[in-house]
Amino acid sequence: MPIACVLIPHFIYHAHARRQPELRQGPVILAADQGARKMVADCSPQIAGLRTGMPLAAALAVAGNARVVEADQACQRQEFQEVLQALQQRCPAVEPAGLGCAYLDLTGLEGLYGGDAHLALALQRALPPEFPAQVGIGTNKFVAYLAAQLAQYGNAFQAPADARAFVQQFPVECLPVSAAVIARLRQFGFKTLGDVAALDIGPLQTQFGPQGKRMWELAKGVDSRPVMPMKEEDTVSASLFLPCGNASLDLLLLGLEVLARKLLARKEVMGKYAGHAAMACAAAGFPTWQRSYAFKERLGTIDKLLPALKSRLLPDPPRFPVEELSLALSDMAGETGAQGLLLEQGRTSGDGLVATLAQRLQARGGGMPSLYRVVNVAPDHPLPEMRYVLAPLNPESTAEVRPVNQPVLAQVVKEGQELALQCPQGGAGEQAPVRATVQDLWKVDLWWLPCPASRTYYRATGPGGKQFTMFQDNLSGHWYLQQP
Amino acid sequence: MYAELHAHSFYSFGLGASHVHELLVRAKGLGYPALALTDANLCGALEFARAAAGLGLQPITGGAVTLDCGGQLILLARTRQGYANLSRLFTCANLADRTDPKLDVRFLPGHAEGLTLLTGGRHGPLAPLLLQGRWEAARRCLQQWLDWFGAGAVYVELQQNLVQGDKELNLHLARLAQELGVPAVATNHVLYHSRQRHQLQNVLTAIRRNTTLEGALPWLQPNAEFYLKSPQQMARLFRWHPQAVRNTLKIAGECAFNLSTDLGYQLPAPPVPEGYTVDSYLRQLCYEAAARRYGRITPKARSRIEEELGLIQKHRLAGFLLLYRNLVQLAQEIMVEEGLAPPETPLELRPPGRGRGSSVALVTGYLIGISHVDPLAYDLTLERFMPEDLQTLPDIDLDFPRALRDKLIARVHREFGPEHAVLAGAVATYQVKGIIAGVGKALGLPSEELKRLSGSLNSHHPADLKAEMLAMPEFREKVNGPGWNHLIALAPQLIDAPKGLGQHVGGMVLSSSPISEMTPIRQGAIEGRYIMDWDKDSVADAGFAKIDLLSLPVLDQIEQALNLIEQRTGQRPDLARINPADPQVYDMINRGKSMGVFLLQSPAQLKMGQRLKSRNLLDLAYQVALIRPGVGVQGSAVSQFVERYRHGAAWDYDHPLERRALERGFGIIVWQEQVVQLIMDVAGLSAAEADRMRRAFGKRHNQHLLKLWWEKFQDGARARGVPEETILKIFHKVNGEYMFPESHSHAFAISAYQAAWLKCHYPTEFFVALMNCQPMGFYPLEALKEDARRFGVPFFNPCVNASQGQCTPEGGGVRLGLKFVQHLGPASVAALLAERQRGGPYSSPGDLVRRVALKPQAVECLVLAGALDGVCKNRRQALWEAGLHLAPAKGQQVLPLDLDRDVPPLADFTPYEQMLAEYRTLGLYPRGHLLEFLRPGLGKGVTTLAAAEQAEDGAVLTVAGWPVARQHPRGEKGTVFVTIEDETGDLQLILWPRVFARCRKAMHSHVIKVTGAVSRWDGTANLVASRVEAIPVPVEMPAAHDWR
Repeated sequence: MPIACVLIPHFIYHAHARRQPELRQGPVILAADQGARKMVADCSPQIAGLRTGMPLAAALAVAGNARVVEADQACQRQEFQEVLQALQQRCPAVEPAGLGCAYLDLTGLEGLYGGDAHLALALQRALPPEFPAQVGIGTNKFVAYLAAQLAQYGNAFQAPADARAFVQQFPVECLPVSAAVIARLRQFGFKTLGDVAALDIGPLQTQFGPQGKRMWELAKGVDSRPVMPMKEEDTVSASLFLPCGNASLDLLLLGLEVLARKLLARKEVMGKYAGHAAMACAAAGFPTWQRSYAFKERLGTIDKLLPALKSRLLPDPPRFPVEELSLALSDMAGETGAQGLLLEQGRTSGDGLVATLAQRLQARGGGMPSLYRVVNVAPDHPLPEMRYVLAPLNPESTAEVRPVNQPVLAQVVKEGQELALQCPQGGAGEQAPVRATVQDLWKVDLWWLPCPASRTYYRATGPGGKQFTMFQDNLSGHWYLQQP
Repeated sequence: MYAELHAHSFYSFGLGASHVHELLVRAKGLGYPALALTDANLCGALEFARAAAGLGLQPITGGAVTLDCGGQLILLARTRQGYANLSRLFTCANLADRTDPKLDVRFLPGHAEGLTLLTGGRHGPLAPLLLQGRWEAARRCLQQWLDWFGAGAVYVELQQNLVQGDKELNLHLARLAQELGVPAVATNHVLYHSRQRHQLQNVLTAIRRNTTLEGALPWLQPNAEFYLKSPQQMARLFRWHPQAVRNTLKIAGECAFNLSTDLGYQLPAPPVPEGYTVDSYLRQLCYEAAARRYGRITPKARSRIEEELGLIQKHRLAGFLLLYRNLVQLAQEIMVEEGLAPPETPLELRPPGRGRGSSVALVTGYLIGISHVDPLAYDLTLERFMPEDLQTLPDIDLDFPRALRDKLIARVHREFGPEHAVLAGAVATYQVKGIIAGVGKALGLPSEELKRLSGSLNSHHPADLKAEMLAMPEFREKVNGPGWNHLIALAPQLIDAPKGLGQHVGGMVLSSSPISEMTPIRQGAIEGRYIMDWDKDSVADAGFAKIDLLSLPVLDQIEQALNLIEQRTGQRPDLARINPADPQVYDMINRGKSMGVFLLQSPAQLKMGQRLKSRNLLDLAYQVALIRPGVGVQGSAVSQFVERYRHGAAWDYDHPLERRALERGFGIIVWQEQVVQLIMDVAGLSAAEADRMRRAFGKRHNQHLLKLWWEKFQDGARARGVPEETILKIFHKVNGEYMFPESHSHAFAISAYQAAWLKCHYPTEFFVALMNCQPMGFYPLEALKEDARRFGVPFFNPCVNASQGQCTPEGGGVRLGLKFVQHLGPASVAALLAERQRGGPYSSPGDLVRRVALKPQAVECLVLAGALDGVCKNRRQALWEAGLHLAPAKGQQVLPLDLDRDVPPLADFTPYEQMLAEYRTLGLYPRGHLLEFLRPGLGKGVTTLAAAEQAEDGAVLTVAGWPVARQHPRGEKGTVFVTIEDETGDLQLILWPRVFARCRKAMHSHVIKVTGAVSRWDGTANLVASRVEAIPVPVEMPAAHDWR
C-alpha cells in the first residue's frame, strides 16, 4: 500500500510570508509564547542554527540581525487548511500530521495518475506555489516521511523496496519521539537508526518502555499505522469590534458572552456540542493574543460554555486595549450524557423571553430588530463614554456592542465664568445659542491611552435652570457636549 | 501666603513621585514659609528636616496614617511629645501588618498629645460618610476626634484638585465643620513637586498594584493637579473659603517642633557584678585575660593597658566597650550551643567575631574578646585611633561568620527587647533593571522583551536607554513606539528614587529609651527581626550609635580551614600569633597569586599587588584601601600613590594646610578620615560639619546641597588665606564614593594577611574551605579550581563512595562534595550518605539506584559528573545500567528480574564529551580546562596566556580564553578590563571604549579570541585589545562577574 508524505519545511514561515511578502526580504524569526517565555516557532530557511522550541533570546544570539515577528496561529491554521483542501482535490485520504506535514493513502490512485511519480507531481502542483513541498513515497508512513526528507522540490522521492536498509542511514532525530528521548539516544551513543536497529528489542524496551519497542520497529523500517483521513472541518466562528479599544475585563467578558450566544444560536450548531474553543483579541500595534482551549466534556449551552470560557480567560487576559474579539468553536459532536429538560412550561428563561419579544417585534415591524441591554463595564471610569455599553440581546441579530454617551461636537466660547453654546439642543435642526454659568469644573488626563484624553469638564447652568455638561479637549481645543 | 500641609514624597513608596529636596526647592521657589512632609512613614522625615533647614524653610514633620476602619488621617507634630506619639502610632500600625500597615483607631486617644489632626480630605473617613448622606455618623466621627485631640488641634481638610465631585464634597465638609465649630484648612494633597511628574506618579501607582496603568485605573489620580501650587493658585481655588488658606499659616506657626534636635537617645548600660563600676570591671577583665594570654604581663603590656584604661576612663567609654563584649558573649553562647566551641573557652582565646575599626588598636579590645588582633604584636599605635581629644564614639564594627551572625541578631533582639535593639533600615532605590521591569510592565510592554532589554544593557544609567536601544537591532525600531517612548522618558526620573524599606545588613541601634518614640519600628521580612524607618544616614544624622553586626564569609572560610588543619595535624594555628611579615606570603601576593584571598583577589587587587609589592601590614593596609571607588575616582590618584610610596617620586601639597590630612597618604586621599581632616584644616569647619559635608557628597541628587557646602568651604578657605584656584582644586578632591576608614584598612589587612598565610602554607585546606563557603567572592568555581591547580592542589571528581556533601581534603587535593552535582539537592545528598553509612559502599550504578530514591535527572548528573567512575568506568554503560533500574513513574512495582543481560556494549564518551558534561553538571572540569580541547582548532597563531604574560612590551599577539571577570571602573571613562583564562594561566585585557563598543557582542561569548599589543607597566602585564572574536562553544561556561 503506497503512502505519500507531503512535507513543507519552514511551513510557518511560508504561511506568514504568503500573507506578508515583505518577510522574504530579510532574515526573520517567528516567535510564539510558551507560557511566560518566547520561543522560536520558525525562521527563514537561510538562517542556520535555529530550531523550533529554542528560546528566543538564544536564537537572537545566533541571528542577532533577524527581524522578530509574532507567529499568528490563526494564520498558520488557515493556510494549512488550504493546503489540506488542495491535497484532498487529488487524494481522498489525507491525514494531517502537524503543520506542514500530511500523509496520503495512494491506494488505487496509480491508475488515475499513471504512476506514483506523476501523482507526486500532481500533488506538488496542487499546492499554492508559495509552499515548496517535498513529496516522499514509501510502503508505510515512516518510510514515506523519511523519503520526503530526501525529496527536492519538483521531484518526488520513492523509497526503495528494502525499507530496512533505507532507514538505517537516517539520524535518530527522525524518530517521532520527544526531544528528551532523542537526547537520551544520543547520550547512549546512538546516532543513526541503524545503531538502534542493531540492538535487541529487549534492552531497548527495558530502557525506554513501550517507546523502545516502537523505536526498534521504526528503525527496522516497520510502521503499521494506517493513514487516518481527516474529518471535515467543523469550526464556527464569529467576531466583533469593541468600542474605544478597551482593556476593561468586564467589557471583554461581555463581548465573549455576545459571541458565544451568537454562535450557539446558529443553525449549524444547534444540537451540537463543542470540544474545542479558540479566542483571539487584536488591536493595532499589538501582537494578536490567541488562546485555544480543549474541554474535557463537550459544551453546547450558554450556561456551561460561558463559565468555561471565562474561567480560562480570567487568569490570563490580554494586557492591551482590545479592539476586535473573536471566538471559534470546533470539534463539534452530538450531545454526550447531558440531561435536558423535558417540559418547558413555567420555566421560561430570560433568553426565551427575549426570543419571544424579538419575534413579536419582527412580526410587527418587519426585519429582525436590534435589542440591546445597557451594561455597566467600568462604572468609575473618568471618561463617561467608557462606563457603559449597549450589548445586543438577540443573538440572532447582527448587532455589535455599541458605545453609549459619546461626546457630541459643540461650538462653545468661554468668557470668564460663562460659556456661550452654539449647538443643536433638543430636536433636530434647532440652533440656539445659549449662555450658561459655570457651576463646577474638573479635569481628566489619561495620557497613556492609545488615544490620549486630556479634557476640562464644565457643568454649567443655562436659562431656566437647565444643566449642561461639556468639555474642552485640551489637545485639540474642540468643545463637546456629554452627559457626566 | 500659603503653606502646604499635605505632601508625599517618593518615601511614600508608590504614592509620591518627587524627592524630598525637589519638594523643598519648589516650595522655597513658590515663597512658602513652611512645608509639611506627610508620607506614609517617617523614612524621609529627618532628611527632610535637615534639608529644609539648609534652605531656610520651616519643616513640619507629619504623617499620613491609614485607619483599619477605612480612610486616612494627616497628623502633624507640634511638639517633641507629638512627634513621639506620631512615631508610636506608626509603630502600632506597622506591628499589626508590616506589609500593609493600618492603625487601630483605639490607639489614637492615648497618643493625641502634641499632634494636630487634619481629616484627610477625599481620602479621609468623613468623605464617604458625607457622600452617602450619613451626616449623623460624620458628626459623631468628627466629635470623637475633637474629644481626643482637643479643639484647636483638629481641622477639617478641604482639597480642590479639580477632580469630579470635589466641589460638592468640599461644600459638605465646610458645612459639617461650621456646624461643629471646627476650623477648615486647605491642602492640595501633593504627590509631586511639578505637574510634569504626574505621569510618573500614575506609573508608580500601577507598579504598586502590580498591574498595568489600565488595570490600575480605579486607583489612579484622574488628572495632573496634585503638584505644589503657588499661593495665588491656592487662593483662587479657595476664594469661596479664604480662611481655609489662612489657616495653613496658623497651623504652621503652631508646629514649631524640629526633628533635628535631640531625641533623647542614650546607649544602654551593660550589667556589671555588684561592687564594681564599669571601669573597675573592665580593668579586672583585662588583667585576667592578659594573664591567660601573655602568661607573664610584661612592662610594655602593662604600660599599654594602663594608658588605654586611662583614656577609656577619661572619655567614659568603659560601658560602651563592655556593651560590645556583651554582644560577643551572646555570640559565644550561640557557638557553644551549636557545638562549635567548648563551653569553657575564654572569650579572648577564640573570639567568635572580629572587630574592625578602632577596636583593632586597643589591647583592651583584644583582651575582652572584641578584636582578633594583638596590637602589641602588630605594633599598632593608639593615638591614631583614640586621640586625646576624641569627640565621637569610636567606630567599631563586628564581623561574624555568616550562620552565626543571623542567629546573633535574633539573640540581641531577645536580650535587649525589640523596643531597645532595632536594626537600621535600608531604603532600596530604583536602578535601571528594576525601572525597566516595573515601568515597562505598567506601560503594558511585553515582559520577555523587557527582560531581553535589561539583560543587554551596558550602561547602568537610564538616561542612556534611548542610545542603548538604538544600538540594538531588535529594539531600534521601538524607540518611538507607543509605550517604549514613555519608558525612555520616564526612566531617568526614577533613578535612585526610594522604592521600599528593607533591613540594613547588620547595623543595630541599641538604646536605653524606647526607639519607637524616636522613629517607627516594624517587623522585618525575616522572622524575629525588627527594623526602624531610618536608614544609616538618618541614624548617623540623629546621632544614634549604630553597632554593625556584619557577616564576613571569609571568617567561615578561615574557621573551616583551621578546623581541617587541626584534624590533619592535631595542631590548630593561632592566627593572632603568626609572623605578620612572612616573606613567602608577601611574595605570593606580589606575584598576583592571591585569587580567592579576602580583599586581595579582585583583578584590580591582583594588579595592585604586583605594583605595590607590599612587605608588611602597613603596606597591605594601603593596598586594600587603594582599590576602593573613592580613591579610584580621583583620576590617577592610585598610580600617583604607587609612584610616591613605592618609587619615591617627588610630590608636594597644593597648600600647606593640607599637610596634616594628606601626609599619611603621601598627598593622596586614601582614607575617609583624611577627607574630614582636610575639610577641617582648609576651610576651618568643625569635625561634625566636615563629616556632614563629606556625607553630602555621597547623597543622591545632592546638587543643591553641594552648592551650599561649596559656598561654606569657599568662605572658610578664603578666610584662611587659601588662593581661589587652590580652593577649587582642593574642593574637587572630595568625593562621595566609598573609601575605607583607616582603622578598617588595618583590620581588614590583618584578616586578608591571615587568609593569604593560610593559602600560602596550607593550600589544600584553604581551597577546601574556599569551595565549601561558596558563593563568596567573585570568581566562578572553575576559576578557583584552576588557581588551585596552579598551586599544586588537584581537584577530584565527586564520588558516591568517597565524597561527603561538602568538599573534603584528600591526598593533598580537593575531593569535590556531592552538593556540587547539579540537580542533587540537600535531601538527596543526605539520603545518599545515610544509605552509604547504613549499607556500605555502592557497588554499581544499579545498586545506587535501587538503594536510594533519586530522581532520574539527579542520577544522570551523578554519572556525567564522574561520581560513579569508581564503580563503573564507562559512563555510558553506567547511564544505561542506572536507567534500567530506575523505577517507572506513578509507583508501578518493578519485577525482581536480572537485568544484566539488558546492558548492551556501548562505547564510552570521548574525553571531550566528558569534559562538556562535567562543565554542565558541576560547573567546572576538575581534571583540566576547556581550552585544552579547543586549542588545536584555534589556529597556529594563537599564543597561550602564560607565554603572553612573558612576551615583550609592545608585542602583538593573538590569545584565546574564557572571560572570567569584567571591570568597568568609574574613573576610567568607559574603559573595560577583562580577565581571561586558559589552561596555562590568566591575563588581563584592556579594552578602550571604542574597541569595547565594537566588540560588545563578542564579549558576551563564552570563549573569545583576542588580538592586541602587550603592555608591560609597573610590574604588570596586560594585553591592549584591538580585535575580539567570539568562538562558539557547545557548553555554557559560567558567566563572567561584572564589577561596575
